[in-house]
Amino acid sequence: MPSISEQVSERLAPYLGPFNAEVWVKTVSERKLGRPVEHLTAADVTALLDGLRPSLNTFMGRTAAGELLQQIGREVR
Amino acid sequence: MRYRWLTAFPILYAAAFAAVAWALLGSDVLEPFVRGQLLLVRVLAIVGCFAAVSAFERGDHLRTAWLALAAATVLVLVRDLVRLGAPDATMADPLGLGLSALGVLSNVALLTGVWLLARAWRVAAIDLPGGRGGVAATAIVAAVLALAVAGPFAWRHLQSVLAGDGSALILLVSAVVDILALCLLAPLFLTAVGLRGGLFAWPWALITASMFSWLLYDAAAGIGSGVVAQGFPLPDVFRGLAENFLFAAGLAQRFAVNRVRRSAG
Repeated sequence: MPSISEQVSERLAPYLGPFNAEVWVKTVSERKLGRPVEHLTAADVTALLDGLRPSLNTFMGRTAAGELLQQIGREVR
Repeated sequence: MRYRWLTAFPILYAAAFAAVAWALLGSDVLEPFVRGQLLLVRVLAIVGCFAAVSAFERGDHLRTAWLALAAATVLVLVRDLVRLGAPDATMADPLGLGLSALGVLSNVALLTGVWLLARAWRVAAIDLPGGRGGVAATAIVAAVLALAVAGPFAWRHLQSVLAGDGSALILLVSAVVDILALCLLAPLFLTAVGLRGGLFAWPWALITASMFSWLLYDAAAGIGSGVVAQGFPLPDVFRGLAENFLFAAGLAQRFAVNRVRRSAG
């Protein structure tokens, strides 16, 4: 089963590009959650998505970003 | 496929415009044709900007950026329309000064919009590709290009101002704003590169193409209209390209946001 970071990156990639999606998830994990992406668990998903919110808000607007994050939150386990 | 068509449209339009203008060289119809297409591309650019504005909510960073770009295009369209009714207005009369002021206001609004787009990566707290070295190198290349193309205009107008010609001040401000806006090509380009492979790369790539076309417009205006053939409106080819890329960028922005909402909603 793909890791938490892989699942989130995969869902962001169609919009942000695969490279950027991976970098954003890695950056939030390290800077905001204080741990490498390999150590993320299902319990971290909400905090990870909250950490991604400001960047997504900037590029897609708050409504689209909110809907996308909700969808990812429902799907990623 | 939709995004590829948006990219192809400005190029196909420019090619068609150039072909018709070439066929009309030496004819009385050329001037009204060029003026008509100028108004058309301005209107298309406004449509694109407002399409992008409508994709966002009040308070969203990019909504403000697109509003500023829309304001820039509306102001310059108003200037063009007034100028059509008063083609002989010069800087010596109030109407001519007013028209120049509209041009400067439009440039300032364009600079504001491009600056807001260019700093989106900072607002989003993300890293641009290439690291600090890559960003600095790209910024230097953009600045050198901008200075090489628009610098001579700024220098000429500065000399006129220093010689006591107050009316050249507006042209100087306009040239400086041009240089600053063109310097912002670097972060726009790098943001597009960072988002490559994703839908949101399209609006950034198209905005970068629009700004690059303005650089070509400045270069073409600097070398005069007789380079390709006497009377051939080369600057207008690039102006149309710049406005149509802005139109395409606005639509691409709206399509990308709508796609997220359709998929996630």
